[in-house]
Order: sequence, then C-alpha cells, then structure tokens
Amino acid sequence: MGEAPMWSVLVLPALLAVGAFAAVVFDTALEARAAGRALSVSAVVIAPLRAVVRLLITQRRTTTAADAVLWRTGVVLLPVIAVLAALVVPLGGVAVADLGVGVVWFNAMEILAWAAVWMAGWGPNAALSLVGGYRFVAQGLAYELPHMFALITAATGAGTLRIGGIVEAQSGLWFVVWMPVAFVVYLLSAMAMAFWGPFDSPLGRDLAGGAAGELSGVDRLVFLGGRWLLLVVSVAMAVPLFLGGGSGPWLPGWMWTVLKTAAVLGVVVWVGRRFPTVRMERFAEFAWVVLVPLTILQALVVALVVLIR
Amino acid sequence: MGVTADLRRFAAGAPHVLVAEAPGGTAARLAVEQVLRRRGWVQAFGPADADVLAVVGSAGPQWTNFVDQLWGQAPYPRVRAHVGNAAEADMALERAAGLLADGGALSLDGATDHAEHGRPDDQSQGHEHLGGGGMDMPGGVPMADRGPDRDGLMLDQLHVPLGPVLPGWPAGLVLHATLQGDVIQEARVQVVRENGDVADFWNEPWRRAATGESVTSGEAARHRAAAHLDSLARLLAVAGWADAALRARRSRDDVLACSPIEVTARRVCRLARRLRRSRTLRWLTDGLGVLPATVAEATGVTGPALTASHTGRDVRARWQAWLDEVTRSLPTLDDTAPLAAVDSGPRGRLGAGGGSAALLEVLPELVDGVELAGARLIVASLDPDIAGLDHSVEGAANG
Repeated sequence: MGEAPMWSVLVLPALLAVGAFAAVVFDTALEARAAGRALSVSAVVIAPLRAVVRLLITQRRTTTAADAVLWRTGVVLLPVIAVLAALVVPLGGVAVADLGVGVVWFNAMEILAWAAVWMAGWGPNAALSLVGGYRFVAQGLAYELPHMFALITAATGAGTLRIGGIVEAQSGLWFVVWMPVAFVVYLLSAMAMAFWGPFDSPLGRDLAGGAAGELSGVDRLVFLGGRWLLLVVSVAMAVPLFLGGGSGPWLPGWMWTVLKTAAVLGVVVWVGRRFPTVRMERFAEFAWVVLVPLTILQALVVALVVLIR
Repeated sequence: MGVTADLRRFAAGAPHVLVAEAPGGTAARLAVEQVLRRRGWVQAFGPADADVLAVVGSAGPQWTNFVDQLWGQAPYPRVRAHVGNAAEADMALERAAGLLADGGALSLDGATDHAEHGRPDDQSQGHEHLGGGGMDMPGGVPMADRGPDRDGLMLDQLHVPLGPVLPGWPAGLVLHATLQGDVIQEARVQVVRENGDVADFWNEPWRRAATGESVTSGEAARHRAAAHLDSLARLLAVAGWADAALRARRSRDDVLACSPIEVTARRVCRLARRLRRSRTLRWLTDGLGVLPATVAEATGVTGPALTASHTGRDVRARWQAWLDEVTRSLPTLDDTAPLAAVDSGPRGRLGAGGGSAALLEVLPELVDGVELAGARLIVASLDPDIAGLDHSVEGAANG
C-alpha cells in the first residue's frame, strides 16, 4: 500500500467532513420518518446546513467560574484527534501515512477522546455537564478492552500492525469471515467511542445534554462536529481491518472503500436510533462479563489458526 | 451586514426551542410539541442550545423568576415567547421565529431582557439558586461539602436542584438532590406552583363529571390513553430512545385529536408491540425503583403505579402497566355512554392524598442511593402531575 503525497493532509479533513455530512443527512431522514414528517430531499439536506449556520452565528457563552482553557481544549481536541486517527485509514490503496504501527497510532488517537470529553464536561463547572464527562470515562473502561482485543485480533491474523499489511493479508479471505466476533465488537466499540446511539449517555437527554450541555455557538459546532468525524473515522477503519479494504471487482479501490464505508456507516447510524441508551452500570457489566471473554476467545482462535497455518 | 442577515434568516428556519412548562400548561405544551414535530424544529435540552425560550402555561411571579434565570443563560440571538394556551402555540412560535430572523434578543411577553447588561453567563444548569446553600466561592457558586458515602468514605457532596425545567421532567417539580459523584444520597421534593387553581388537563373529564356535568366515557378513555402515552413518551426520551418517544407522542396526538379509531389503534398497537418486544428496554428498566405493594398501599398510591407494584414493582412494570391501560382503553375511545367511575384519573384516585400526591411522597425514597441516570428513569416512571395536586397537598409536599 502506498502513501499519498503531503498535500493530502489538507484534503483529508474535507473528505471526512463530506462523510460526516452524509451521515447527518441520513440521520435527519430517519428522524423525520419517526416524527411522521414528509420526506423531501431538500428538507433532509438543508436541515444539517441550517444547523451549522445556526451555530456559526450563535453567541459563544460561558459559565460562572468555568475553566476556560480546559473546556476549549477538550472541545477542539475532538475533531483534531478524529483527523489524526484518519491519517492511517487507507482510501483504496493509499493512506496519508502507512505507519509501521498504524493500529497502535489509531488506537492512541481515539483514546484521546476520553480526555477530550472529560475536559469538555469538567470545564464549564456545571454538575450535569461534569457527570456527562465522567460517564464517558466509565464508558471507556467498559468498551476499551474489548475494542483493543478486536484490533489485536485483526493484527494477529495479518501478523503486522501496519494497516496496509492487514489489507494485503485479506487478499484471499476477508477477516470478517473468520473473525466475525471481533468485527461486531469492533463496530459496537466504534459506536461507544463516538458516544453514538445506545452509548450516547455522556451527552444524555437525562443530563440535559451532558458534556455538551453548556456549549453554544462555534464551540458546540466543533464538539458535535468532531463527534461525527470520530464516528466516520472509526467506522471507516472497519473496512481495512475486516472488510478487505479497497478490494472488489470492476470498480477502482477507492470507490470500494467509499461504498463499504457508506454501507457500514448507514448500518451504524440506523442501529444508533434503534435502541435506548445503555446505562453505564449495565454496559460495564455486559462488557466485562460477555464482550471481554468473547473477544479473548476470538483472539485465541485466530492465534491458533495463525500458528498452525 | 447583508450576508449576516441572510444567514440569520436561513438559520431561523429551524429554531431550537426550550419548552419551560409551568404546572397547568399541559394542553399548551402538547400543542407546542406538535408544532415542533410537524415543522421539524428542534426541542432544546437546555438553555445553551435554545434560540427560543417558550414559556408554556400561565406563569406567575415564582415561575417568571425562574424563567428569567433560564433566559439569562440562553445565548444570543434569542427570543422569549409566551404560550398561554394551546390555541396560541402556532402563532406564538411563528412570531418567535420571525423575530429570531430579525436578530432576536427579545422577549415577547413584555418583560425586559434581563441579561442586557452582561454576557449570558449567570448560573449554569445544576447551579441554580433554588434553595441551594453552602459556602460561596468567588462567582457565587456554592462549594461542595463532604459526607460519608455508601461505602463509608468521606466524599464531596454537591447539592444540585434537578428541575423544574429538564427534558422529560414533570413540570414544576424540583428534586433537591445531594450528590456524591452521580449517586443521589438524599433527595427532597419541592413543588414550584403558583397559588390558586391551575388547569388540570389530564383529570379534566373526571373533575367535570364530579361536578355533575355529563361526560362520555369515550372522552375519559381518550384522556387516560393520551396521559399514559405522554408519560411513556417522556420515559422513552429520558431512556435515550428518541425515535420511540416521537412515535409515542404521535400516538398521543392522534388519540387526543380524535382521529379515526382504526388508524389510532393500529399505530398504538404497533408501538406497544415494539416496546414490549424490546429486550434492551426491558433490560435497562428491570429492577430499578422497586416500589413494593405494601409501601404503595400505605402511602395511598393508586392507578397504574399501584397495579405495577403488584407485578414487577420496578420501572419496567410501571411502563408496562401504562401500556396495558392504553391498549385496554383503545376499544372505548368512541364510547358515548356516560362516564361511570368518576374518581380515578390516569394517575389514580382524585382528591387530597391520592394520585400524584402519593407518587410525590414515595419518590424521595425510591431515588435514594440511585445513580442519576436511574433516578431520572424512576421519576419519569412515576411521572407525578403537579397540576393534578390539590392545594392542601401542595403544602405538605413542600414541607
């Protein structure tokens, strides 16, 4: 797998933004259907644009005795780490950087989301926001181990931590076929990492918005936009890890990557609306009692196959 | 300037509305929610995300004072609108959006803009001075004090008033919670309600029947089904299941709008099936807020909460009891026979000590030692209606 020229660093955020926008449009359509509104293309496409413009012209507010530095850092960090994580995600045959430790880099960047959300929750000095920030840390404790086992399973199967190497190892058989548990757990943890869907309790309605509850204007746009970017990136990573990357007949590799990513993203967005929010104490129990043993078993099976082969 | 104005007009096409419902504003809230849903406007979770602060129902001095605090926290551009009754909802929101397009920062009910002199930075949610005490820090925020937690450790305690305006929260209820982490150590109920009679929307057919007016049992059944669907919508919203909550609201609006019974029944049954089949929802509401039948009977809890205390006793049993009553009411929605049982509204027996008053009484004990997320579900599963309280009771609940 090749590396794209340096200028692609500038294109990458734009590509991610397009992906995030498409996801928001799909989400808006699902919401309109649930609310019983007529679905029109213009309404569904314009609504997210309107939301962006609205936040751009809304005043940035602050709160009493807020820790402004921590707060703004947390807010800005979220989109930044999404883009940094995306550096190693290949589009077709090229990534911005095909690092030898790509999997580790990706994992390190997404773990920074813990800090980002916690800081955004702590910063405004408001009780409900603080609870939201801490909920994400608790969520991290629940999803991170199964998530890392899922990543390691793919790396073990390929015998390398380089994303390009993992894609090449799937030229015969996609990893999703013989590591289905790792794939499903990866997608679950991708949702949890972007606090989307059943794992959105850090921004819960019961906390009046939680960690994002005190944000307005551009701050809100950056934070929530960053969350969508993170969702897109973590879903996009499932394609090189488990779905054969850009491999496929007739179409060029980048097209296959986009198609596969879009399909998985669609499923994830749909699933996110399909379930109520999973509370921390129940999710932690489920993660440690069910997901951790399952992913360890999966890793064991894959390791044995690799040894015997 | 021209570009900014254009952008403002474009953004005002779908404003975010924070609905601050005063007790007695039920009918107006339903109308507002319906307008928002139809137009695709967004219901804001809190003041930070609000363009329009919609004060719903009749706001007396106490309530106005509180709404002023909320108003101070909303960022510019902002518009404050007052929706006194259901008929005004469409017009009031329309006007608010118009003003927002012109720049906002206005209040539509004649009150002055209280935050004109400074940034809207007063108190954030969770630090409202609704009886909150303690030592003051620069900035006026009370410091946390300390106390033993459930494991016997000395931990910070924070006094946080929950309500009276939170998403899916009973209008006019304030739960003064002492938090350690996000665990409620102790909770005290306060009711923010103006003196004098407030409209009691959900119990209306029974109250009218009690004064000798002729009320059909169909009308009562519609109010009962709609009340439960409304409670259910709020519970689902608090549980983080926005889509199901929207569907419950649609069913509620159908029931109240007297749409053809077959259409309504089909939609309600589909929703009921979906909820009953949801393993996740059952898993998440199981074993939460257990209210034993003995306690329920001793405190005078009646209605679906009592029924539930005989079955599963938890939050799950309570939403299932609502669903049962809703599906049972469906065939009688168009019944024209006069209402026979006159004293049991959607939340149980009417009159002093019954219905919502008893629910408020059991509430503090149920949320004791529960995490915030669980406590929110417990409150939503009881869903006491402050407007349904009698005056004598209100004093007791505050004491």
